[in-house]
Amino acid sequence: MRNLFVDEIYKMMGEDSGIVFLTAECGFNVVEKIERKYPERFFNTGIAEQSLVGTAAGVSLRGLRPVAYTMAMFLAMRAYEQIRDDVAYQNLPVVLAGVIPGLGYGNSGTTHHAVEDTALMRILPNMTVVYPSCETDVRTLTRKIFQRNTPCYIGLARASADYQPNYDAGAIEIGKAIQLTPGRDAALFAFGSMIPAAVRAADILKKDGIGLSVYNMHTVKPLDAEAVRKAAKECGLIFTLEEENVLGGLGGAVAEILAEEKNVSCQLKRLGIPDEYCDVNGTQSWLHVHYGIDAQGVAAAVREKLK
Amino acid sequence: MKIDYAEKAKELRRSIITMLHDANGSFSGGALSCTDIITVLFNSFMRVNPQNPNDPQRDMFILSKGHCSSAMYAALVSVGLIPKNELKKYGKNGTRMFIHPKRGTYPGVEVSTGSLGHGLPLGTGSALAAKILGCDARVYVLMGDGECNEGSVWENAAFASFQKLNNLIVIVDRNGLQGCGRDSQILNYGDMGAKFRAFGFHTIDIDGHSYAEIENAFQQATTLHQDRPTAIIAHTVKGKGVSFMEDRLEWHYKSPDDEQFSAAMEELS
Repeated sequence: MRNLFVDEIYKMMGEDSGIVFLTAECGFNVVEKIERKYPERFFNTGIAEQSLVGTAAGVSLRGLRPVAYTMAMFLAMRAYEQIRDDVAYQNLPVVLAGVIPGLGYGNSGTTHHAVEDTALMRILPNMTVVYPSCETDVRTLTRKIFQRNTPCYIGLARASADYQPNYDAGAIEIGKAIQLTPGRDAALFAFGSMIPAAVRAADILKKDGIGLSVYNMHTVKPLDAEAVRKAAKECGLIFTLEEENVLGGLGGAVAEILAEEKNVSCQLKRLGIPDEYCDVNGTQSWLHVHYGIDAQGVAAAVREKLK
Repeated sequence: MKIDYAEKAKELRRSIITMLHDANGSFSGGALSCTDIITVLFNSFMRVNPQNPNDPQRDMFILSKGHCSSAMYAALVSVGLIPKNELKKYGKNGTRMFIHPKRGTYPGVEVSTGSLGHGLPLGTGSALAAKILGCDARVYVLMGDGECNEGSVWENAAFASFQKLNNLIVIVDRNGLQGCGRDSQILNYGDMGAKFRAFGFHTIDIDGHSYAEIENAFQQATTLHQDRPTAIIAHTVKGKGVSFMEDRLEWHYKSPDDEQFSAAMEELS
């Protein structure tokens, strides 16, 4: 997804001379075409995330539109106070691009996993938080976050080569979930890298006669509370799926809505990384199986709840 | 006409003492140590237009040591960006004259600061943007010396000099005292100028209370057509101008009571 994001930004930089691209030493073999074509609007701050985010905020002070692009865990955590104070608090239109959130860096281990970025970003006032899941998402959401002219975080997971969405760009609106499969037995909200697994889980369950209604919650903030309420009424059972810590992420966000909802009886099950640091080595897909958040694991969790 | 900096600085110091007394606020010491620098900067170098405060060509002043906002607010009053009456709101409940300033509350309050080590990257970004836009605006970043403990300062100092930002001027208010004691006993940075020089800055050490030296330093920073940012290391006295506050750690925190307020105002009359 990072290649697609960079490609879209590259196009946008040709259309809008106000876009400035900054990276903290991230993007080898990805960002070079921007550097070559627009050297006067491309900056590498070095391995220095605080400097990256502060500088990007400063660039926006004179009306330019900076993108701060670096690895999700270092962006979201190393520079968190800069994101809060310099970007969110001052409501400056900085696009924060978090490269490979979740477990995408697999066997690089816990220091390289960003399983906290969803929770950290969504608690910041003024911040829009999106996670594209496919080429259509990434190209459309990238343009839409620029139109907002406010702070935005975009999580750029690894793309799943064999997943094709069943909707087109027109279906994508910030803050609106997209229903991907029909189903009345349970609903599942997922985003970004987990969408392919969610859709496959629905396929698996369909063969068992179970209808799983899958939603692409590409915008974690502002969250589509209406879609959650609708699913709660229709199914009475909601799953959330993310390769993030279940505390505070999408699962937390959906739980907050359901807990405050009147006259809705709905059970919630959060699927994701439990409240622990990964203590076993594994690639992204291996870890998905390990934590039961691959398609089979999700299907099994749904079956278990419906027993 | 020669500007009477001494008189203008006294006026600022009276405003500062009044604000801190009325608000029962902290940080007298650090506001008074940078008052002379701010006086010269705002009277002779900052290009601001009160009729059009958001002029894209304007210079920007970034108070990185945000806790000393009283000095900045007083200066913004002196150049006509804020009405004097507003100073009465400083730190008061229900007002927007924040002790740690917030962007957008008043003309000239360009960024929100309060957490240390943020102003330099913000200033660097603004200076970079001015270069990209081809405008000759300058950015002045005022930092504390204790603030230079923060790693983000040095991350960004390297970047600013590498980008040859000759429109960026950093002033370090080297008053030698930070929150818990003397810098020299906490985390001794020694020759601060040498450190900025090593990071590629043009560096000038001055007496931060000598108007001639301050003026000369800003003159150098704005007229030498060099290819690098400037760091002015201004050696100052915390609490300068009020004898019983000078070089005393407790005035990082204390606000003057009624008696101290009267004594200070008399010294500054």
